[in-house]
Amino acid sequence: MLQFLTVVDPTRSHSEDDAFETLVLYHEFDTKKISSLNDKLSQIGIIQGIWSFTGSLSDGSQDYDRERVIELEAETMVTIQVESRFLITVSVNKDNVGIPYQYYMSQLWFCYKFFILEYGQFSNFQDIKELTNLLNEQLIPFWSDIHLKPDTIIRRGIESLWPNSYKIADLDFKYRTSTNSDDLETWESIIKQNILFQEENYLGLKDILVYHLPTKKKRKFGTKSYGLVQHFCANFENIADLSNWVYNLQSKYDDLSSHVIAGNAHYKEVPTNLMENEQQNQEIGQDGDTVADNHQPLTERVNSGSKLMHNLTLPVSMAYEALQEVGTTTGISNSMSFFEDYIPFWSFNIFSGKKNTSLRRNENNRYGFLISPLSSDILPQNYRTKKLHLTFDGKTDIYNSLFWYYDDLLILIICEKTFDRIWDHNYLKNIGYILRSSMEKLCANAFSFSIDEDQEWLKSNNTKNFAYTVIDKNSKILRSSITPCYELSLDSDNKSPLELVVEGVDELLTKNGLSVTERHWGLDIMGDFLRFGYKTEPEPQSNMDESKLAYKKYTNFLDSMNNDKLRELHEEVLQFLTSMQNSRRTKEASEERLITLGNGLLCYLKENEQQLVVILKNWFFQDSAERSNNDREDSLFSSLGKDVIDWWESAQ
Amino acid sequence: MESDESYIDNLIPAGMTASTKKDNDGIVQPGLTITKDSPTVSINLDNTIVSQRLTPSSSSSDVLEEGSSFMGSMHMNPRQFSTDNGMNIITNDITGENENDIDDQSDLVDQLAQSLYSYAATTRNYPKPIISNEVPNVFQETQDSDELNKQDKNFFILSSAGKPIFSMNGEDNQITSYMGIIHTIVNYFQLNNPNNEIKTIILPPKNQKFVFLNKNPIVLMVTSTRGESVNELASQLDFLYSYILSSLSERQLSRLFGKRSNTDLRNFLEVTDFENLDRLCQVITYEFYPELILNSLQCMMVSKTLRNKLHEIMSTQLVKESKFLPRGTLLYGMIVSASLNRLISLIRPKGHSLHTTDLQLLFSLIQNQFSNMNENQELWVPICFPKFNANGFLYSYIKFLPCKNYEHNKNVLILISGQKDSFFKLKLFADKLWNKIVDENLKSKIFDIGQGYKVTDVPAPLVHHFIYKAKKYVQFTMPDLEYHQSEEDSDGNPSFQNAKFEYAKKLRTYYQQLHDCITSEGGRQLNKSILNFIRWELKSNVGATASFQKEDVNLMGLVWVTKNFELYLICNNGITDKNIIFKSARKIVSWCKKNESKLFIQDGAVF
Repeated sequence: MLQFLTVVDPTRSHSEDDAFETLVLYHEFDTKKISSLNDKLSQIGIIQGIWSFTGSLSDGSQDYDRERVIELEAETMVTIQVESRFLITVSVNKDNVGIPYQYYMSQLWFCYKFFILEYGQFSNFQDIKELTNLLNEQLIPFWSDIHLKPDTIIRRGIESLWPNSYKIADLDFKYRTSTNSDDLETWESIIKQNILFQEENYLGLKDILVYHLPTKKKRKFGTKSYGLVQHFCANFENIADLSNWVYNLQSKYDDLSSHVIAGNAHYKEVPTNLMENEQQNQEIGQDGDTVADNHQPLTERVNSGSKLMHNLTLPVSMAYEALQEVGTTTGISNSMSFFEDYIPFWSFNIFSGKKNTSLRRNENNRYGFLISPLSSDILPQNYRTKKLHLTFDGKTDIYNSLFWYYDDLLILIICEKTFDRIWDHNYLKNIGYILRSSMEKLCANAFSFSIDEDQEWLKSNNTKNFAYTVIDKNSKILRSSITPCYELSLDSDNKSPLELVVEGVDELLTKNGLSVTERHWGLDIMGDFLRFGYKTEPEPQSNMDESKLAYKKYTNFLDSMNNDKLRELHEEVLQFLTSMQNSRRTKEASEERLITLGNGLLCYLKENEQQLVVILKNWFFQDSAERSNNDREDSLFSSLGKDVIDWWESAQ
Repeated sequence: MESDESYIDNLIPAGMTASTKKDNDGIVQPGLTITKDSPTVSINLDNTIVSQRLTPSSSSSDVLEEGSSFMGSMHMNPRQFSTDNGMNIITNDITGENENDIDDQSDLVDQLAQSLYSYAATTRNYPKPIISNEVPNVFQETQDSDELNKQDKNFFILSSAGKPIFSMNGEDNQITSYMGIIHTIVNYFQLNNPNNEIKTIILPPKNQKFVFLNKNPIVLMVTSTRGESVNELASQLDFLYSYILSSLSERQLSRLFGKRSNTDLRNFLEVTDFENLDRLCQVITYEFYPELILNSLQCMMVSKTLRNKLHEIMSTQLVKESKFLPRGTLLYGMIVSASLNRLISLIRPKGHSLHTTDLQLLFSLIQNQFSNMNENQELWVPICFPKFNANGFLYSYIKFLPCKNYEHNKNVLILISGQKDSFFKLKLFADKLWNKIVDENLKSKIFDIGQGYKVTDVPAPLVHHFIYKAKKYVQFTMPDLEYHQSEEDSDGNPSFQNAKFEYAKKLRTYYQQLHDCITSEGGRQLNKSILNFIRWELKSNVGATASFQKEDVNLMGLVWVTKNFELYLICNNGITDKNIIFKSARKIVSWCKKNESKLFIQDGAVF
């Protein structure tokens, strides 16, 4: 898979003797291979050489000239230049995974953009060692996770190929429940009136961003409904980077938890030998390391060679760590029964507001803060506020951000670092209450389904026979309903390790009948996986159906396609896009392509100065009457069928 | 035979004669029907004329059809229309014998309507219309500059030791340092891991590609921003490398570099080799040369009877001469239209055929190097056919077939042997073969083949141009480029070459786009059966108040690939109905299938 990752600053070397100064970061993913400094220097030397050689034979401004892909027989090196001097390179082995280089290029941009989101630009660091340390903390885990789970980079599908664009949720607010006159207040106005426009918040709260995210159980359905639902500040400039950061966390770690956002969750390889594993665990235990996975049911389930995500076990380990602290100070032994009291509980009832009975969704909606000052003081700072470098009105500054969720909706609250109200727990509880009532409305609008009201829709609407991706080049907004491919079909004995861990934790929780203590750590995980995946107490069938029915509004024919076929399709679409990119048409010209694929799919592509459109249409289910209608002129677009034309017109 | 030639004089289209006189160089480029238009202010209005041409349905009997016509573009501006009175006059001027005067409006409308339907059957009573050859351009213009970084394409050939051999652009002092860097890059990766050589460098935002081909002891690199796929560029490099092999052979190369790795190969290549490499680069880069991209050959459209007759004569003659020409002496024999680079007939051993690259090299060698030969000269040339056997030479007997009055329509007889000393045997065979052809009264017919066919000869309305490749025969066919002479030319400016060049370049780019949309970067065809439409659109920026308006571009192309054929097609500007286009495409396919025996050499003479 991945070979090495480097960050180089060529300006730091002035002669042959200080060439090593240019090396800001060099990491090899194969732990068995240790290169000498000389090898490393020659490696980065050739990359720099190729960079300037190709630059000297190409004409154009620096802005466009920031990417290189060096393809070797058995390896691909992808390089980007940032801040006009740093070269970041990742080298990928061409193995059976075969992910196209475009995905790695995007990830390279993402890793840089996410870094500056958290720490600011590379060039701001006076001390290069400090930069190296942070890169070690940030970039290496980022790429190690990809190294261990390469399929995570294709999980966002083709939408991740445009790292400067961000996806917005294409929600259908048509089915409003207007039974109550109070409901005239929309969910947006609740947030605006009760939070943003409040005098106490006006200068402190910069923006609130609402995301609808594909939680693990639902991610294969309704791709179009995922993305940024709304944000309220027009001058927020790096919204694309922030949104992509959220999407990337989601796609990489399946479900967002406090640990994921705080940056503490990563994949880890489990030693192949179980004996070794146990031994190691003991050693770790002695060293007081945070990896505490000595629960038999868990380790036994881990297949040899598979990988373990200790994302969800982290609450356990945190608790364990804290317990040790308590234990050492109070002299109480750290027995398991006591230990289990500290397992974070799922905060159903933190704020017990009245339930909206008109909601057709499950009434036990989960919500709460993921990152907020409500978290325990013992936890690191990152769990209480996430500090991000954001740009408003052309001015970049550090802002505090809090994360709140309601089922699969994530809300990011961005506030000035001087805004102290967030440290007030009651204030936060109040905000949580308002957000919940707003989100309930949002869900009632967009995700509810009433059989009585939606009879017509039920009759007329089946799963959509087309899927699309539309990118607005000016606003960088991307809409997409093309279902991504979630897993690479690798060796069959590689059972998804994530699944294992979740199961393990579930069992751990259910073993003691979910004995929830009142004390909580403020740790949480978003999504409603308990509702969907709770094995001992399955959801009543009818409820499931209704919930799914609501989602059906957002599904299309690709959702039911199997993984391998989806992957092939994505590869084909990428080829078409690459070929379209190869076109030397003038800037003003637009190009449309309509491709009939052998498997009964039509692929329509259009690119002009303003936008790029990809539409996949299921040709088999084209209305036969429509197909035989030859009276009107049959342009490329109109041949996609009436449903696509209607959608396009309404979207415009 | 002389009487035949006077008869043939009449066959040359009037447009062709007129422009031949006008052309300063006195050269008429093959494969192009030259027509003349009126000096109109309209950018858009195309009045093209053809006086006489062969109809496809009657090519075997050489029935002529007379007529003249013009076609207005679909997007004609009424204002231009009224001011454009030169249109009719020029029709009369050129043909001189125009029987179909287009005097009034109704005739004009009639003509326009007719131009929409290019069926031979429906237009039999009318002057046969010609499709507008005004293909708008939606592609970026190439830059002319001496600076290497401003040029959109360059080829570098160097030895594995880093010594420059050839570069398409750039002076020696400019390129030497680049050659050094290329050498370093290639060597670095090769030394690190011999199984991990460098293949390509891509600069995605600018769509620039650097493709490497390491054929130790020679290294080739191309850089291009012209939008070709990696695979296409690699095959271009392979073509250039094949040329070097054809001149030197692999064995000779390894011998030269085996002795001294830093040999300067430039000392071992002839001046003509550099000229040919230059020419090949030009062809690859700027000209319309579908042979390479389709990896196939084009044949002359010849009636089935004539082709069979030729093959029969070749076979019987070979059997007859078996005493003088022992079996194995002759490997391949062919008659080729040297001016058009197209194969007319072929004799080959059973189960063997020459690789298209080898034939492409042979044809381009004849066209570039020997085209000035006269019919009294014969050539005996050692050529290495790299795909046949890269280590050895074959010997080619090349003779231009004698025929007066056909200066621009040269045909060549090529006989290929593996024996170095069989020149006289082959010469004797060639003479006898030619005499037999003359005796059989086929000489004039071979030369009468002349041009190919026009797009209007194919019953496919609204199609501007197409390429049809029969996968089974590894051959393709396409209508002749109907070239529209530019206005500037009438002032005596030598813009004819330029305009022709521009037109061919435009077509080239369109076809390249069409071809690329069905193949991946690695050259793999994306699907076994695929139907692909492309539409280019460009709105004119000139406002309605301007004194004349530039036509909006709304051009469609189609690629249709099945397991039997590939069809690439460009429509007239303004045609956007995909059903109409597909109907035309089906008609082209059935026409090509129907005329398969005329368009392609199916078997050749096999011995």
